[in-house]
Parts: sequence; structure tokens; C-alpha cells
Amino acid sequence: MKRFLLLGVLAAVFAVLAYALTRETTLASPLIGRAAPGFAFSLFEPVGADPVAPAGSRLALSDLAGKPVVLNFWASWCLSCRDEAAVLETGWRRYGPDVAFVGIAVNDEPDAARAFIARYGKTYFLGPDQSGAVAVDYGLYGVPETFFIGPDGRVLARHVGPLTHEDLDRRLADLTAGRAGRATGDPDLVTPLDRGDDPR
Amino acid sequence: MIPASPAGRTGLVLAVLASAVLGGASTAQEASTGAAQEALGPSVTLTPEQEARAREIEGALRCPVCRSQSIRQSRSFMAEDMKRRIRELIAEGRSDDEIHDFFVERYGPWILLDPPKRGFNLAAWLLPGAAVVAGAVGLVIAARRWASRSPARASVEPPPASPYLDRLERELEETE
Repeated sequence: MKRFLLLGVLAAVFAVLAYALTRETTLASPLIGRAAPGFAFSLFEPVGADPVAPAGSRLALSDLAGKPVVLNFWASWCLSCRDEAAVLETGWRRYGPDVAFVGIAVNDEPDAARAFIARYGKTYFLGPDQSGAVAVDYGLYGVPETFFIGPDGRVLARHVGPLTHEDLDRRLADLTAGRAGRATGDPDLVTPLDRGDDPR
Repeated sequence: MIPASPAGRTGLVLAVLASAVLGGASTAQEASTGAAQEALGPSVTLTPEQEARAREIEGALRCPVCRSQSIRQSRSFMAEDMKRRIRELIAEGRSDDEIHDFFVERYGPWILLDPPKRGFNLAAWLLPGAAVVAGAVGLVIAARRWASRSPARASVEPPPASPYLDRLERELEETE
């Protein structure tokens, strides 16, 4: 009897440890359901055929009030960001300007970021997070990460890793309906914002 | 940001002199934190006390990239960004608790290297102490049991008589 009790206690301890060690902690964001942290930055020079804002002008989240916002964090040195570049641009051309698309380059050289924008023909709001403050405000782990902000300025969902066309369509259906979604994505596909991963 | 008025300029000169005097009296450690701050690029300037607070907070926050390290130990981009943010928040006059909350609101309680002392996390703080107490109580009980058992056994049970030993002695005597 005593032996069974001891085994039971040991099994319970192992179960708690296993739960704690395997629990996914990076996907959920405490920001979901709360007001999106504000930001303001200078836009990169417009490139491509359809510039959405004059070069060097500033964009603030408050300028987009009343519109759903797709806020994407990216970097020119991030391989997964290349995979989703076309997805975001296609999404912008299809859903914009009713839905605002914003791309913030994190820890990136302006020239490298501009070359990336030109290479993938990006035309939505794009600018640098020069001090890294926006990345910290959104609790970023790496790039790419995308936040979906409702017309009321609340964060409705977060996607970790590169978006596919299907992800974006599903998310935008939720976003325009004002539905909060679960955090999705694959944390393994996020490039951490690590000095070691920077090819510069 | 150079003040235009002569009074402002005098204040600036005094501030520069004061910082030079403070700088001269500073320890080697403060000099190294100054160098670290320089590496962060344009950032807010903190007093030595505020700088010590910033270092303390850096030691309590987990690096989101390296996970097992604090951001003070980490050299990742993310950690550098977070260090800069901590200094900005201190310069804004936020308290240590407010700065911890700032990061918990964005990353969740996981960002704190020491779990907060409430809810399920209390287990992490209470269980080690409880284990030590349980072990001590167990040891005392076991020691008492052994102590009460061993003298009793010695007095009650005489060494068992062996028929083989008796026979051996008898036969030895016979051969002599």
C-alpha cells in the first residue's frame, strides 16, 4: 500500500515536470484582447509601382484607427521572411486599403531593407524599428511575426513564423469580423533576433 | 539640445562638471557599465543608482532568444533592445515593479527568471522547503525507530544456540 502511495506521488511529480518542460510558451501572447501598443516610424522611400505614402513621412498606429491592421515584423536577413513576402504583398493588393498592412523591419540595415522591398515589389507601409522599441513593445521573439489588430485597436491574434496565403485569408476573415483568434504558427520557423544569426 | 539662455548654459556646465567629478570617483565596475551603455548607441543617461537598478532588472529578465540566460548575460539583439527599453522606462520614472509588469504584459510571466510568488508558481518556492522539512521529519522518525529497536533486540534475543557448534566442540574434546 505504502509502495503504491510512493509510486503515485512520484508519478504526479513527473507529470507536473513533463507538463512544465514541454508547455509551449512562445506562441501565446498576453497582448491578445488588449490595446495594441502604439508606434510611430518614418517610412522607407516608396518603391514599386504603387507607393502608398510619401517618402520619409511618418506613420503612427493612431493614423490607422478604425481600420483592421496587419502588422508584420520582418528583416532582410530572415529567410522565412522571403517565403512570406509575396503572401503579404498579394494580401495588401487584395484587401487594402480597407485593411492596412504595415511592415516593420527589425534590426535591419536601411539599405538592405530597401533592397529587400525592391526585390519583392512591396508597396504597403514599410519602415524601420530603429531603436528596437516596437519589437520589445510587442513581445517579439524573432522574425517573422504578425499581429492582427482590430478596427477598435485591440490585438486579435498573433501568428508566429511565415504566413501562407491560407493563413492570411483565414486571419483576415476573423479580423474583418472582429473575431479574436487563437495564436497560430510554428515557433520553429521563427529566426530569433540573435547576433549569431545575423550575416552582416 | 543646448539650452539657449545663459542660465541654462551655466546649468549645463555645472552638470558636466558634476558628472566629471562623479566619473572620477566611480569604480571600475561603473566604468564598464558606462562602456556597455555606449555600445547600446544613443540611449538615455542614468545616474549610477539608476544604472544599478537597470542592471538588477536585467538580471531578473529572461532573454527571449537564449531562454536560459538573463538579458544581462545575453548579447543578442533582442536583449540589447530590452536593456535599452529598461533604461528608457527608468528615465521615465517607472518603478522596478512597473518595469517587471511592463515585460510580463508583453511576454507573459515566463519572461521573469524567478516565477512570481503566487498561484501555481508558489509551488516552486514552497516545495523545496517542504521537501527539506519532510526529509528531516522522516530522518527523525527513522532514527527514533532504530534507536528503540537495537537495544531491545540485544537484551531479548540471546545468541542462538547452534547444535553444530556444540557437536564440533564435543568432538574436539573427544579427539584431545
